[in-house]
Amino acid sequence: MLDDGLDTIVAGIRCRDVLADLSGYLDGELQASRIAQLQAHLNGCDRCARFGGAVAEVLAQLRSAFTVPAALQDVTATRLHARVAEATGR
Amino acid sequence: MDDAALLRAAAAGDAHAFTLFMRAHQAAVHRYLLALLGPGADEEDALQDTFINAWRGASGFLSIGSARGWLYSIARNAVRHQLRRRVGEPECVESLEALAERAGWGSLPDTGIDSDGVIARESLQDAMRHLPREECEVLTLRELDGFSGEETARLLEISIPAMKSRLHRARVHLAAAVRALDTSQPGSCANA
Repeated sequence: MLDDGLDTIVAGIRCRDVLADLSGYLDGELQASRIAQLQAHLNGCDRCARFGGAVAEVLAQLRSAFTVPAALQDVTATRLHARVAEATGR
Repeated sequence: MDDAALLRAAAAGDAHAFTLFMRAHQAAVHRYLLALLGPGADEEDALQDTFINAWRGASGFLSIGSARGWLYSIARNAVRHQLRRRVGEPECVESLEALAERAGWGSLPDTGIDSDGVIARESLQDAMRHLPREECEVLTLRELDGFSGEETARLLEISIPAMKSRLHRARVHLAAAVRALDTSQPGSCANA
């Protein structure tokens, strides 16, 4: 493998093309033949494999980072319900 | 009663039905607003505006499409309203490749993820606030709120291919922002 940055070709695919297909790969939207091509590339390209893994990890942890603390939810919900009660005339 | 029935009842003046609808969705809408606006008065104002406007506009809900999608379109307007009150900073546009390199492509394992694979919660929250609003929005709808690609595209009023392209860029951008925050990388394209 010649290191040519994003134009490096591994298993017949450029790293640039792997990058372009990363979301489709993570979302399971690609055809089986394309998945096989990408997997062959990832098996031989540590950089792309680790990069894809890092992006997937960031996304996996995103959800837990944005849970609203229960205490904040309670306080906000109380104020919200008071405002809406005012608006609805309850 | 399902969401659509609750909204129809609310449109007929049933405040209790609206309260039930609000209870079912307030936590998710709160999280959406928190992701887009950050914590503070803005986000709480937007939450209240969302539900008050939903109450007032309940008769505008047509039972075509999901009630949740309808509610999020109102929340989206509330975000726009809050953001208009803020002084905007110009967004710089980087190529996807440049973002990937900032996200650590080619220089891993320095990705902002520690040896246990854990990313600090604050880093992720900060990173989201460093994204352009459109990218933060598509990530929130797809990754946090679980809207389908079709629903997300409809909410954002863009085509499905455009939504996918924006989502892809947002994911790479988020990884770059996490890394930039954790490693103090220069050249961040922050607009927060």
